[in-house]
Amino acid sequence: MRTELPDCLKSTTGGNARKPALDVYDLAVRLELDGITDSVAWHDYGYRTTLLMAKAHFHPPLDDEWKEKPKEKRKFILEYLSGISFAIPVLLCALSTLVYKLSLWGGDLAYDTASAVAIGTVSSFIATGGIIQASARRSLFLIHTGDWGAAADTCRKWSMLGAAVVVIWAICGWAFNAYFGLLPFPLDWVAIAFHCALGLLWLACGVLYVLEQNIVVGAAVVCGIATVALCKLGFGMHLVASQLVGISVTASVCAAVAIAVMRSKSKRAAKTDGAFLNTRIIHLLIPFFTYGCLYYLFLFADRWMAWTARTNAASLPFQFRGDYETGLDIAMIAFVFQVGWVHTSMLDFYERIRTGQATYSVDEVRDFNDGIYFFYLRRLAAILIFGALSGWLTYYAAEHLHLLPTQAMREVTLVSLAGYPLLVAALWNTGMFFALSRPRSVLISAAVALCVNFAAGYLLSRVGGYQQAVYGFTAGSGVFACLTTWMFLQHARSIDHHHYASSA
Amino acid sequence: MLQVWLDLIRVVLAMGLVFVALPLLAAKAGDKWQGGIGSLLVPSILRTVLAVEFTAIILGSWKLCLPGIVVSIYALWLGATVVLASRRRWIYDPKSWAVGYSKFLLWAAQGHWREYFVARVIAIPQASLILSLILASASVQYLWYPLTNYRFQGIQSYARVVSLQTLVTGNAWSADGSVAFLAPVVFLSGLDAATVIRFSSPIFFTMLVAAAAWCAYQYSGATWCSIFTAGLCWLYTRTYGIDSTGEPGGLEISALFLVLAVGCLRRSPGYAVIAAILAWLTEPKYPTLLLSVLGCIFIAMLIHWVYSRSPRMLRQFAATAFLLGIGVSLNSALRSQPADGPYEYEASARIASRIARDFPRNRWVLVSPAHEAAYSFSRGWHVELTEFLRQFPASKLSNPHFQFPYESDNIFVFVEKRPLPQTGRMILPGSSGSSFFYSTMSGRASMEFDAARAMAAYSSAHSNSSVYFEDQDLIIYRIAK
Amino acid sequence: MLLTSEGTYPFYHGGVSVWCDQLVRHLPEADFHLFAVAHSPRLKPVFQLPENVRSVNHLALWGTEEPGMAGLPFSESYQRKLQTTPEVIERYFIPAFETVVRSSFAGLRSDPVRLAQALHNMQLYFEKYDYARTLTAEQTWNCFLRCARGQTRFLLQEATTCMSWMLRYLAITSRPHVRPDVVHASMAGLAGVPGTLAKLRWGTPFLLTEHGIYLRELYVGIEAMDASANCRRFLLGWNQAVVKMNYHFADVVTCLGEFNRKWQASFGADPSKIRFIPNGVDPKRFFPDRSNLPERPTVLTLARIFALKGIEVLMRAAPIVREQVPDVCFRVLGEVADQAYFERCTAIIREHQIEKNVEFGVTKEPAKAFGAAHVFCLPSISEGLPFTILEAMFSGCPVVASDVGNISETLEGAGLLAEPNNPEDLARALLVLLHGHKAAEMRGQLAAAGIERAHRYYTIERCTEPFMDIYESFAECEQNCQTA
Repeated sequence: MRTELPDCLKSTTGGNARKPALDVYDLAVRLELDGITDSVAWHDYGYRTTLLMAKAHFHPPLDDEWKEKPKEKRKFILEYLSGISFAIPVLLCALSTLVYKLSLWGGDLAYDTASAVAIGTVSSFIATGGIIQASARRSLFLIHTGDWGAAADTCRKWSMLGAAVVVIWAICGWAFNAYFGLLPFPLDWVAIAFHCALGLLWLACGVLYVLEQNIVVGAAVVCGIATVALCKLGFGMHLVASQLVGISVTASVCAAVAIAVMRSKSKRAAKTDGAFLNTRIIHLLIPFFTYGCLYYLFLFADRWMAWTARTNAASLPFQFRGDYETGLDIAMIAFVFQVGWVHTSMLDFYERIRTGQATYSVDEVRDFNDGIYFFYLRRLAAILIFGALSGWLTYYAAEHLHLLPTQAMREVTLVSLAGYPLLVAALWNTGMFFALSRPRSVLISAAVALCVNFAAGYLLSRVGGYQQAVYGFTAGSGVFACLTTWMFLQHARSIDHHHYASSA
Repeated sequence: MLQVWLDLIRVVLAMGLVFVALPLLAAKAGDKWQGGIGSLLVPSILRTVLAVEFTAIILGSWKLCLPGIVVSIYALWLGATVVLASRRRWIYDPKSWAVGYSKFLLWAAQGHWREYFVARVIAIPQASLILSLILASASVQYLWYPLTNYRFQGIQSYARVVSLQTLVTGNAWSADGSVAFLAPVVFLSGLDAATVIRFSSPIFFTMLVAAAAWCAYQYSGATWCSIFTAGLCWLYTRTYGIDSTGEPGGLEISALFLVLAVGCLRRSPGYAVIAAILAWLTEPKYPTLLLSVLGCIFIAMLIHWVYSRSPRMLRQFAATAFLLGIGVSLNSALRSQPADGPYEYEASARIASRIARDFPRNRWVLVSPAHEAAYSFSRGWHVELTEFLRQFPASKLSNPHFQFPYESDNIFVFVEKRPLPQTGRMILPGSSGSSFFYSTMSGRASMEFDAARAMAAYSSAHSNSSVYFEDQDLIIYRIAK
Repeated sequence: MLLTSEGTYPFYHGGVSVWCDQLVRHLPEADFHLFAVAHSPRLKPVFQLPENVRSVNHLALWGTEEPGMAGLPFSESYQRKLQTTPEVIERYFIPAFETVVRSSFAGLRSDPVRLAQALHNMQLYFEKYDYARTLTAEQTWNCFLRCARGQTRFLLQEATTCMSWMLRYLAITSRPHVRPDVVHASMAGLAGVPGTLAKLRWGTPFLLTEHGIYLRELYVGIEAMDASANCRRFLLGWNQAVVKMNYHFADVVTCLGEFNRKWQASFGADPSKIRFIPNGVDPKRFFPDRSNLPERPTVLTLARIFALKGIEVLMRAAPIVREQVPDVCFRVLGEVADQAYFERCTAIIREHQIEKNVEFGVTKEPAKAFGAAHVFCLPSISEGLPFTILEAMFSGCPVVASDVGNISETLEGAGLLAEPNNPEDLARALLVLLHGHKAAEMRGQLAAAGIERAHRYYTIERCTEPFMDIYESFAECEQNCQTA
């Protein structure tokens, strides 16, 4: 007879890492794994069977000592920087234009050429926005399930589809222009060239964002701007040609890094077989695709209204307004600092949910939901207050540095600074709705906001001056923020359910 | 020539889409209307024209008749048409959309869409075929002039062109119902007002003939009555009916709507009222053409009454004789009154249109008699010739250091080598020139002589002047920046 | 025949997969429709499917865009979504769901008939309505919370985790099947649910075969799960309820030996339904061929590398063996199923500096591998009746194995046994066959005994013919019922 008990029957406290057995059968299995067969149980311990021995020694566990693994301590600054990294490329281009008068697009160009470049740039965003959103959603889903092979395959196919869309869009645009005669030759080809080059760049950036290589995007943009400077100042090329070379360099760098990272991550993944695009996948992704299109239409609607206002005497039906653009660029500096809050707030939101779920029981659902509800309101207020303060500081600095010489510029800057915090609030709401897999609310809000943006911007710019199109942007942002906030507050009362449903 | 045909196709397509195809599709999308397209066509057209007319007039009065807003309102109108054409207000119920979407998915998955690509044989009755041929022939004959000429025959056409172009560019506009409803046609076709007015003329006359035929059908119920009406109307419009210019003005368009009103009176008094309103909006004055068209209808009905009571052999003979008679008469059709034009050389109109098309917008100036302004309005700049000569006499132009104060890349100066023969011509309304130079031979000759002298003086002192176009009647100088 | 499996045939390798493949190949007179529960939707079969496999119905528990995708055209799927309203869910789904959840909390105390009825009602429900929309509806979530309120302080986090599991597992009721003549489940867990449902709906005979004991293997793995006690208890309870239900409705339950039978009875199987049908091996594929036997003493292990196969134990035994047999070679052939576990094994190798004595790899010719080994060693922590032991016996390779599962009954003196999870005892048994002047003689005796025993009890015909007899008896019974 043995006196020493097997390991599994020793105490589960005092440094022994084993979890308490859940029931008798659990203990019996543990005994068998420790080598206590029926015969050993009989010969060494005096029990007929292992199960009987387990019954004799089983005690229901008093306490669940299991603790979730502690999460890594979060660093606010890193999260904040990660949040603003999405806007870094556009910020770099805007700063480069303001300071050096050259950038990846825009700069010191004749008005007609600038108009063509602007059209190409805007159309590249709109053409690829939806594709990037859908592709990212699908790829992130596959990465989350651990299927890197399928994720790499999906990214590749979506990128090819995006490139095809860019080309088809260019052909349709050319045909539209040929029919309506809006842009004369060679401005139409300038617009097409920028559209294609930037479209491919955005597609590559989209893949890098999925792979969390945001820094690479910023670095590639810097390389691109440097290339533009080299071509123009070093080789004396025309600014447009230099920019096309610079964009090509940036796109190539982004694409190369994206391919390399994807290959390395999917190298060990098993070859899998799955549909790239079928009706079900289209149905699941169409909300995100639509959001991508709506969002970029919204972002550029006010510019479109400003460019097409009062152009009867102009050489083109749309005229790029340098002062309008400068005013928006200055306001965007504040926006970049505000948008960092979106990412940190998303993480805070999920942290609140995680800790709340680990604290509240199923009898305390209302307390849990209320906690989230009030956290949301507090954070929303913080975002708006920060937005107002940063906007005020930006305006003050711009005035102090004499960056706003004209009344139109001042008006545009002020009004857009009022609009950007609202847009940030709306983007935060959007992020949370997507995380909870509730895109419908976002789509309705975005569509209404877009209509308000267009309508207000159109009427005000036609009745007043072109700079008043910016009121459409601010009104639209306000509507976007209000609608998404209202809808989210309705969801917040049952966030426990939505959190579960989103994990499905 | 290809360009001309392309322009015609664009105008026809634009008018067809805006007034016929899209409203019909929207009306058929609902489930209220169970009848065929024929019974839906005229009401749909009238509703749409009324909506577009009101929209354009209201927006035009606010200087907001611009592409974006007009297209948006038109889209809303189509949406409203779909809603009103539905018995159940499914548009309000999001679930109905989802059900419709799922039915569409089933329809697509089961391959029912292939049915639309199956070739079908359609039987067309002989009478309908003849009627269609008459209308087609009529439209071809009406089209002959616009296809071969850029210039207009009547001053009212120039006035309509300027009015339409003013409307669609958001400038201060005095309401003109005869052009308001053409605003979306200008936007959708991507053409200028002059081209749209030019090609809409034959379309209106064809529609007048078709409307008369339809009206006759409403009262007689017989296709042959329509054929007789169409033939008589066609003959009338090509001989006596048109007010001197061969181009429809407000009165002719008003007559068209009134004919439709008469046709609707029997079965749809509501649409008769709509047509009458449209006629009033287009031109409040009474159009004498209406009586003539109604007379053609009455005569056609009489002919048909006799025809229908004749023996079969005689009927066929009578029909053939009638059609032959129409054909012979049209071949030798004489105008009762000559047109009040021409107001410019054909070459002037053609070259002015070409410049407006080929050169960048608002980067050129046209210096010419007043009527070329119709082609350049809001696409470039126009300076009336006498005004130009007053500002820049030959003495000034002969100075080698003289430069034109215009911010443009090119200045085109139209000089008539052989002054346009004209007496009693009207000047383009709103033009800055004096009517003396346009209504008398001596005035015109004096203006052109001064112009020739001025250009000779400028050319001798400056090297940036060249001849852009020259024929036996006209010379156009180009002064490049 | 509807042959059901979970995590095995035809998408994964393993003993159960080999058994399934043998069954379908050696019963060409039967038509098989496969229903395989797997973990990813993007898997490809790793077995060549014979012609009598008419269809493969693949239910992926994870990795799908929507849970419970029923393989329907999307247009029909979408119509179902539209029909799935909150009122429909409340009326037709929630009562069945509540029963299932309460059964999961009850575990082995649950009523199998009630559970089966509830799952059957769900199956009928999902023939008209959408799965994802139903399971993610607020009513469903609130129903779960209601049921969880009776338990010891159930946190929301635990409720979310458990409900996520239910969301995946209940998908088995949403997948339509052909109506078979017989349902043959290769496991007692989820794979047995179609059998129970067919039995309830059509009276289809239901045969349940267990290799390892499903619940027992769950117990083995559940301690390592990174989840709270409530969650683990719930998962256990769900599986207990399902297994109990499947045992209850199965007409025949087969097992591989007394060890399995004992556990099946503990978990609620009626002992009168249990029959012994061992695994079998094709003697034409596995036969003695010692022509490639190397000079160097070689210990072969053929197993996938994960915790249950005890490779870590073998690695701890290896240095002990090497002390006596310095040139011993341990060849471990099998896919790495658990990378973290494999790294633990390699860390032990480095720690004891036995790199030259251990080889890892894979083989597509196991028969040749046996011929090139002096001893076959299976140090598993948990087993049923492993094919590799039978293959070793047929190949004339003496066997050393841990005394788990039915291994002792299988060997019955034709091999050496060691205590499970005991490296010293394992090393002792290996040294008996590798070290000493009697080692070769011992190996010869064990090999001969193994060959004799294998041919008597474990040929493939011995494995597949009894199943055919069972199928035929079911068919006879069906005919008699119809005649009556």
